Amino acid sequence: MNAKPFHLNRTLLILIILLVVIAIWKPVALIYGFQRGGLYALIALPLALILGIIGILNLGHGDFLTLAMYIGYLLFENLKIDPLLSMVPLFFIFLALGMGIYMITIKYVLKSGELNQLILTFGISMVIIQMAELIWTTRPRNLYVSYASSSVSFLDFSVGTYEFLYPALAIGVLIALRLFLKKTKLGQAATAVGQNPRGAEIVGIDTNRVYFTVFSISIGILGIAAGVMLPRTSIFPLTGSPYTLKSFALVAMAGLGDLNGILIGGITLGIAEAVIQSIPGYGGWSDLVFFGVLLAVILTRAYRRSES
Amino acid sequence: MPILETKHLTKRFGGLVAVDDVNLKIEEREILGIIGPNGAGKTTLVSLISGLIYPTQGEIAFNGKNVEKLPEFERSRMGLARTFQLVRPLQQFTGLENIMVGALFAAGESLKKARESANEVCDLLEFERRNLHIDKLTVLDLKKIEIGRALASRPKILFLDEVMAGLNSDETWQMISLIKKLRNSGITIVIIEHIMGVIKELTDRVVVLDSGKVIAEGVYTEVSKDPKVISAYLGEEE
Amino acid sequence: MKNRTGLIIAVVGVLSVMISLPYYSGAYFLSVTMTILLNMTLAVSWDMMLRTGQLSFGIAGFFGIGSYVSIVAVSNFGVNNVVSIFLAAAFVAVIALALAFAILKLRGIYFAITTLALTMVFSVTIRNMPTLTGGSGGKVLYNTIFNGDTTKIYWLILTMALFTILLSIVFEKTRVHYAISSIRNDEVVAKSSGINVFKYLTVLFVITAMIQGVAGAIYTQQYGFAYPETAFSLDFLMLPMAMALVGGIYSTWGSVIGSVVLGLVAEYLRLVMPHGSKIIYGIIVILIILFLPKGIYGTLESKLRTTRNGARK
Ligand SMILES: Nc1ncnc2c1ncn2[C@@H]1O[C@H](COP(=O)(O)OP(=O)(O)OP(=O)(O)O)[C@@H](O)[C@H]1O
Ligand SMILES: [Mg+2]
Repeated sequence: MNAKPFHLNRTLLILIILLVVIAIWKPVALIYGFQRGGLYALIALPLALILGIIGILNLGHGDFLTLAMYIGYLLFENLKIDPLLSMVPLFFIFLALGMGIYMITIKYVLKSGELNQLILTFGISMVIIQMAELIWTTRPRNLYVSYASSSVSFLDFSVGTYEFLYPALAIGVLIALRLFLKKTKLGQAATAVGQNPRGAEIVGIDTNRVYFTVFSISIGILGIAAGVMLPRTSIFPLTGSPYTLKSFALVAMAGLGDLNGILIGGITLGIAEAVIQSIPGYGGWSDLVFFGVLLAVILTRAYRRSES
Repeated sequence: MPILETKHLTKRFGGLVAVDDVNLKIEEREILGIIGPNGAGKTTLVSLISGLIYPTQGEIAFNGKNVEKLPEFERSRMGLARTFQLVRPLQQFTGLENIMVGALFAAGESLKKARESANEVCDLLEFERRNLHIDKLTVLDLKKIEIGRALASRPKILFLDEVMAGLNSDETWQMISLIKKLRNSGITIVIIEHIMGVIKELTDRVVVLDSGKVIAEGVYTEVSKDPKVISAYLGEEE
Repeated sequence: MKNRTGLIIAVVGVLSVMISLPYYSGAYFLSVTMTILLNMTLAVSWDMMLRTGQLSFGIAGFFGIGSYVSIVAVSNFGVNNVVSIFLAAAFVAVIALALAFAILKLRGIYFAITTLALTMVFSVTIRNMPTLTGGSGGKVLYNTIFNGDTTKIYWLILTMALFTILLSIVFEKTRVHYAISSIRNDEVVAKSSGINVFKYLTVLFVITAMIQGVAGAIYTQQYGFAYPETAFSLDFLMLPMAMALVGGIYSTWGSVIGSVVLGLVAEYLRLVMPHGSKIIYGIIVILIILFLPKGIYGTLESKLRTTRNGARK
């Protein structure tokens, strides 16, 4: 922890050098990766909140995203609500869903150990996937809005402009979260609980209320992410699943409680993924980037811990 | 040759030096006391020797062999045993089974033999409720489990980290006579204790730690008059 | 003494019923039994690892690897069907051993999510080696094991299940039990009591992975195909987990009872609601965690223990 500032600087430096190299070598991958990376960060932020403050790894994270996308799709099909606009209702619907899920499940496993928590959220994940399959089948749904397919072209390549919304939203949500954690009373309490739950309880913080709020806001943010993803994502029961692992990889990489690190990490991994995807014949392996990083990061950490 | 020797043993936690250049020589069959105010580094010292944590610097020789790089389980099989200041019973087991674990793995006994050894240890400790599960036991019982597990591992040297804390005076006397019995059976004993009466009664020699450093060493009656020791303890009360 | 004789009679009875089952049961019931035995094997193996305190989501991954090794060995290299199962076991063991050095340093959520990711990693790897594995298109087997003789296949699956149960019981009755339970209860105490934590975790991890790989191999041989979606299907994780949880974790009999109970329920559900039945497993898992964390067997056992203790007083 003490070596952190130095560590971050060095990482940043390496990052900048790498970015320059990639910008020359594969400029499209750089831009594309930046966009996707923003999305990864946007989705990882709520996972980080739940893990950092409540201490629970929500294995159903990506599946809540899937569910939100289906609901956004329904809003569009039935009520003609524009997907970008649907972020607002989706946020509130999933805020409420988060409250419900917390009240009927999470609340009861807070003290019953990591194992039960993991199995519980894994069960939730399975229920959402199977429910989606039951109601909507495995047939992918796609939703078309004209503005989402606009693009700009430089030199001899073109990139979608819509996707710049991902990093923009990620930054927006990050700023909002930081303000919430710093400026509001509840946010400060949440920070305190994340750092030392027992201590926080002793000084009279209502941890249950903090957990309740943090959990529901986090699930609500997934509603926002779903809204922005809708026009450019094919929706099927497993759409969101990979994001659980990717989000966890980002959180592990950034370190618990480092929300800025998630943004930087997300963009880095997004670019790494895009670069591998752009190599002909090896594109399929890009799915392993996150796993590779996850393993490398947690192993070096485990190794360092056993050294000390 | 001392049974255990540390040379320049040092442990840093970030900026804090919890154990600072400690040179100890423990002779076979002695009872050594380690005292010092809260946070002096006593438990950290024991953990370094037992292998729970690794030193930042320095050496640990057990029976003349350097062990500071060995994993904890190997050290415990060589005959280094410790208790934990806060009792750590294995929740799932009965008292007897808890004690068996030491016999099974540290002493490498068979299941049948380990059960016998554990029963013997329980007899020695006068631990009657050995077949009950942990949640039905008293503080004294849990302390007995803590010591029993260490004893069942057939140690050559035994570190007792504040085993008297939380006991009433009857129980403390019981424990004192037990430790005397153990010494007579040939085990070298290191006790860490805040209760000076116990230290005075039991130890051949004491080492005083303060802020990770050894500030005094010798028989209790002399060490207790040492102005450095007195001020270390007085400093704590402020 | 009397107890012991009773036990032996019961075991011999159950065994002879199980072995002779193909001679008097219909094809349908036999196939249900095979499915239950397969899931029972996976459930018991999952629980065996869980007893060390580490939650592994790797079942589906090792299952899939076993499937593919077996099918590739037979159809690409002309290996005998039965031999291919042993080959799968060996291959999975090597992979698990290599992984052990990395991931058995991890604990808790880090261990769990890494094993969950393994399934994804394995399936991506398989998809990306189309010349060997058929890629996303999968692979079909033309010469099936025992020429498709269901009776022999049943015996094969029964052997696998019995072997797993036996191994699990052996681990419960020997020093292994004390080692891994200590590790689960308090790793610090385990180490200071002379337990080689890494050794025990590795042994358990490799053995349970092997069992899961063999289950995958046999499954593939039984049905004669392997596709990435089916071989690495999370169904092979979800159902066995649910079974172990329903029966009661940390015990052989819990998983066995759970797989019979839930296996029959699952079959019934599959009949009455062909599409939605899987959702029930997830709901069962959630309900068990919330209301009956010890499962059926565990709850009964602790009830028995308290009444027995009460009687003694
Ligand atoms: N794992 C650790 N990480 C960081 N600091 C630690 C760690 N373990 C101990 N310390 C610090 O090292 C110092 C020595 O602690 P230690 O527990 O060894 O003291 P002690 O002499 O046993 O005290 P007490 O009499 O209260 O048991 C304390 O300041 C403690 O906060
Ligand atoms: Mg101490």
